Amino acid sequence: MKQLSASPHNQHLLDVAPLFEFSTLVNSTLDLKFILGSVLLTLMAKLRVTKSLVLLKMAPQATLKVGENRFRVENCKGIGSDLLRKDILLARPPKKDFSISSAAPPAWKIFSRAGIRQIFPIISHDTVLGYFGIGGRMDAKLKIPRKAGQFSSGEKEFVDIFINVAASAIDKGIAFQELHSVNRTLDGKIQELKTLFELSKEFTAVVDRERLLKLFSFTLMGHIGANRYAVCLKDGEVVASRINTLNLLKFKEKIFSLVTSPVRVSDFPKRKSLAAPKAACEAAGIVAIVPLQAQNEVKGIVCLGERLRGGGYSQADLEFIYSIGNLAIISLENSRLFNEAIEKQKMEDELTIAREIQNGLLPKSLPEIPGFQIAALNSPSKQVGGDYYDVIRTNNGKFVLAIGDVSGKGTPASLLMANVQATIRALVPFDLPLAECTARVNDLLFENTNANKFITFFWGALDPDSRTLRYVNAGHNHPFVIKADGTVKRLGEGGLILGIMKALMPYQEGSVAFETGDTLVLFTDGVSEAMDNDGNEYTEERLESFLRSVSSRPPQEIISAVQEDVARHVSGAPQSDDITLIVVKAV
Amino acid sequence: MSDFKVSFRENSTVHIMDLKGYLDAHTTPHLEEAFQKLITEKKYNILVNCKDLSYISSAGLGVFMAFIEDVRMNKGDIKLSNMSPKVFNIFDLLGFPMLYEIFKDESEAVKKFEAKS
Repeated sequence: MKQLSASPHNQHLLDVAPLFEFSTLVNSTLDLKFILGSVLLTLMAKLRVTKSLVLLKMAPQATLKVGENRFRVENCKGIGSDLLRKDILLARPPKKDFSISSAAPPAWKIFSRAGIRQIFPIISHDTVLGYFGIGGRMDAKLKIPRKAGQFSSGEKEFVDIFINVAASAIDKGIAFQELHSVNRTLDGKIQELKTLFELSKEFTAVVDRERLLKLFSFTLMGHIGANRYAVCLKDGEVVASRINTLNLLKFKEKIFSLVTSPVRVSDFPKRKSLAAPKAACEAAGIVAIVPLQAQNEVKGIVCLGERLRGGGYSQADLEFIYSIGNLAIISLENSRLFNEAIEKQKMEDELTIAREIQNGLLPKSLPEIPGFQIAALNSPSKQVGGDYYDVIRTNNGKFVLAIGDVSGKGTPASLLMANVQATIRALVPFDLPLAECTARVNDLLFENTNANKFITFFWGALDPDSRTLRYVNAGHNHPFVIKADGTVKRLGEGGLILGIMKALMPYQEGSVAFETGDTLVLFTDGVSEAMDNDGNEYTEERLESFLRSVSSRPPQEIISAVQEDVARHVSGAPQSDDITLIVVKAV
Repeated sequence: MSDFKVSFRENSTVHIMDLKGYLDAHTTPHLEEAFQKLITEKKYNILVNCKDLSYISSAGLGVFMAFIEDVRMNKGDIKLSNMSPKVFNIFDLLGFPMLYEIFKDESEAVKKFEAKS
């Protein structure tokens, strides 16, 4: 029996024990990296070569042509790391070993240049998994590289067997790696879903805008690993971290209209009009912009700077930010509406209070004045101004008519008005001269209110016996007296508006005598300044001429007529100030 | 309801935060406050012990991102230790091991801080 060991060519084939050992080693693990490294080192030791590499087939990619296969260098020894992770494309991957000395096919040239001489396929279940490349063999004695292609057929046979043994381990390793990567992708997706779920839960519970934005930012940073970002909302609110948005905001409109889906700044359309915004983004270090959309409208944008760990944003990253961004913006919108509703409710509550105070202050019914007819109207505006009027019978049979307009609106105006009323009601029974009383009211108000609070005020004491009205006008719109013959008198005697400064000059008292048919009309600027939609006021002139035309009628009718004429003037514009009228007619 | 607690310890060089419980979108503000407190006190050698941390969400991770640059600018660092495999998996998934030093045990991290100072 011929001894195999006699042939030097078959010497390696005899080494069954090491082969078995190798098989055990590579099959004992699923770690592909370790398997490939072991194969390369073993091959190099057995064949005494100094260079080797391994290529593995990559998963198909959308960019590849049909029938093209991509192979990537997964590991290499003795040829530097330049070739590591290099890809080559092969239309028909060879299934037999071949030499790539001089006339290597183009795809393999880079390897022949690196000193690789022979390529061996890795085949499992009739499929090419990849290739081992071997080269740069050293002659044991001469220590110089031998000529290429000088592997004996026995050696090649050995390598084939050896690779066959490794192939199943590599196959398993690849499958395991794929499984691992699928698992990781899945874990990543689960994490995304968890985050989305958690945020949607939290976002619905939070109405505080600041907290919402913070939560969104933290999630952005945590999930994407970015800490440079800016959130710019349409209403001008900006939350930024390590990005200066000052320059960027100049192009807000343009960027908002451009970004309807996530976009990288480098992918901005090449348009002249976009050159400046693009430059601004780049200067601010922004690499991608994601819109925040609600109801198909861009309500804001997220500008993303470089990631802390480097590397760009994948499409999946941008899509994810887009999703959580849209969640956030809807919540922000909701919180805005919610806050607005609360604000509105607050204001309405306050107005109700103001209206109640004001209503409580106005006389419930007017006293009868012998020889006179009297009617009054107070029509509060929506915001409730500070109009005030009163008719008080004094202890000695006179009647005090008062009308005033407090500065401001709402509750503060109502409260001030309540003060005025209390003061006046307290003073009237003493029957002090009006001018002196006015000075006292003024001083009290001045001492007890801010300088920006003031009251235009007119009051008069009507004596039904003498049919005269003694009055003081403290900066109020001059009341009209329409005489029975149609002449008009304005009542302006008095002094300064109440509450601005201490009364240095005494208030002057005026007096007017009434004859049958004469009509006194007290009003507030809610009448004369009633505005139409174009901002045109009703004016005192129009009031005067209108009063003339209706002065023969009874007081209640005059008031209704004025009300109608004012309504005709404003033609539907909302009433912006209280309207108050008192009409007294001598009969 | 999710429960989360931060407590502080310190030795001569390192300020240790012990995280306990469930760190999600709802509890994230607590961690933010904790970091804010240390940074306001100019304590920049921060070690976060995650032994009793049962979950961390993306928002929780975001807090680490928000402070890391300030801390490092002040020559300090945020290091982490004692993570359960489940918590480490989340850190790992989102690429945090590239940004932060994560130690198996607190003592190793303390040593690293001490070696530097």
